[in-house]
Amino acid sequence: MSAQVPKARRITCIGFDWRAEVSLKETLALLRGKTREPWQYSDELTADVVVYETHNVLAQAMVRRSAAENTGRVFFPSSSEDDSVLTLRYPFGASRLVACLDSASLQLQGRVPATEQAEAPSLCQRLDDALRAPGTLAVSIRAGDQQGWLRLPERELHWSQPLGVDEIAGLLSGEVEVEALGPTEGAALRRLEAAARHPAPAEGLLWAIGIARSKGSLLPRLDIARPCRLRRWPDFGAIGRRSLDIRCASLLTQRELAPSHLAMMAGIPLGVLGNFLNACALVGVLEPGKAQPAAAPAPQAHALPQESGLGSVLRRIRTALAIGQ
Amino acid sequence: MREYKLLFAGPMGAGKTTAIAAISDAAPVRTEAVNSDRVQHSKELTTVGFDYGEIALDGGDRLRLYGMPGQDRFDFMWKVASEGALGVVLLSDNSRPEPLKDLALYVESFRAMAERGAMVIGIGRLGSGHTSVESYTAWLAGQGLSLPVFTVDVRRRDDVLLLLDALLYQIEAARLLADTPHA
Repeated sequence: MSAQVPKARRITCIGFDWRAEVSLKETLALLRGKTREPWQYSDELTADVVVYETHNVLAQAMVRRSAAENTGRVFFPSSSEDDSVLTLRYPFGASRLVACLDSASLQLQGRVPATEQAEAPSLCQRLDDALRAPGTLAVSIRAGDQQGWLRLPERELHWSQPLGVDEIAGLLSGEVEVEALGPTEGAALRRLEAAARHPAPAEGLLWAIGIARSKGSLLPRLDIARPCRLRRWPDFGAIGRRSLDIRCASLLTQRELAPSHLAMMAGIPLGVLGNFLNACALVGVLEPGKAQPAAAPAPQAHALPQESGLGSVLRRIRTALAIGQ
Repeated sequence: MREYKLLFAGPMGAGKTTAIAAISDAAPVRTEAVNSDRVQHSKELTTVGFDYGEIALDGGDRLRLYGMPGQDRFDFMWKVASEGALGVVLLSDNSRPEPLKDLALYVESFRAMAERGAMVIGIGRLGSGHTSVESYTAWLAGQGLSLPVFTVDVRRRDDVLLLLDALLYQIEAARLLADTPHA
């Protein structure tokens, strides 16, 4: 009889720069066998433990919502004025991370580890499929007691009630049903029109689903070797700013690039870049390029050049303003 | 000590002075006078020369921030100031009657920077007007330009930093792509 391997608990992070995510994954790998229970990184916000950037509005809303719903999930803020609260700040120190994970294990004692829903398609993919299904006039979105719908092709979003950041956080962390409605579902469409009349900006929600609900996978319709471009910039003033997204957008609006090529030029792991591309695809700003799929570039072919005089000036301006580093 | 400059341009009342104040190391030098052009904007004071702010960089260099006077009778100053500038932040006031006409004037005046991607556009008071963000991007596309266009409130420092973050990446991307052959 073989000994049963304990199931790993899952940890994720929200509101940090992508480097924090990569660092957390790498540090976890180094800690194998050093914690009370095995742990693994997850892209899903339903993980057992969530490390969050204290000033991130969406993360704050998730914490509030989780507390209200008594999910039992354990949250570690990046900072706290209360010295008794365990915090986890990037760069994550190994001993601090072990302390947090062991503390979480005690808090989660008796609870079955949250399961990875790897076999099911991501919300991002389901929504993308619904938006692109032939003949779709609208997509119904249901999450808990929230009912909404997206009218196509305008992508106008309506909800049954005005949604604040807490409700949006709920949408992003919980179960969401999406359904494409075509010409034969006229009655259902009319019911939606009557029930959900509060307009809301669609771009913010679609973007957030692409970033947070992709399960780290590029949408199947996107190909890492096929060049693509952005037909316009997403409105980062409305949907929130992450420097890596701005960096990728500046490259993809100036030239069509294959995702593999873009990842190399931007110096960003393909897994992280995938969420950005998915978000662009959902928002409708990503379009195929005209060039043929390219062979993966040789690693040295597009390595970042030596810092030029201009490069040094831009870097120093960023340092002075504390942006995009 | 080396000096570099960034420009802030846009019509009267779009928030150039406010944006510079949000990021300048010291309170900006303002050259304001009583607004004699109440048809353009109802504010009491307006910039008649440059607004000026600065940011200290590592190594003792300085980044100078210039706010261009908004009235188009000063357009000769815009051209002089744009010589040697790293880029320009264009601020639009969407509550004005014809914001796209305003945009056209400034894009044309700073065309060289727009064509090399060294321009970013911040739209203020979006909800007070009828011109959508898509209308701005469509107008730019018609000009053969694909520039960052964001809704902003320049009273918030984070929004001003968003504009600068995008502008710096635009400049960096143009440089990187110029050194990279097409696939």
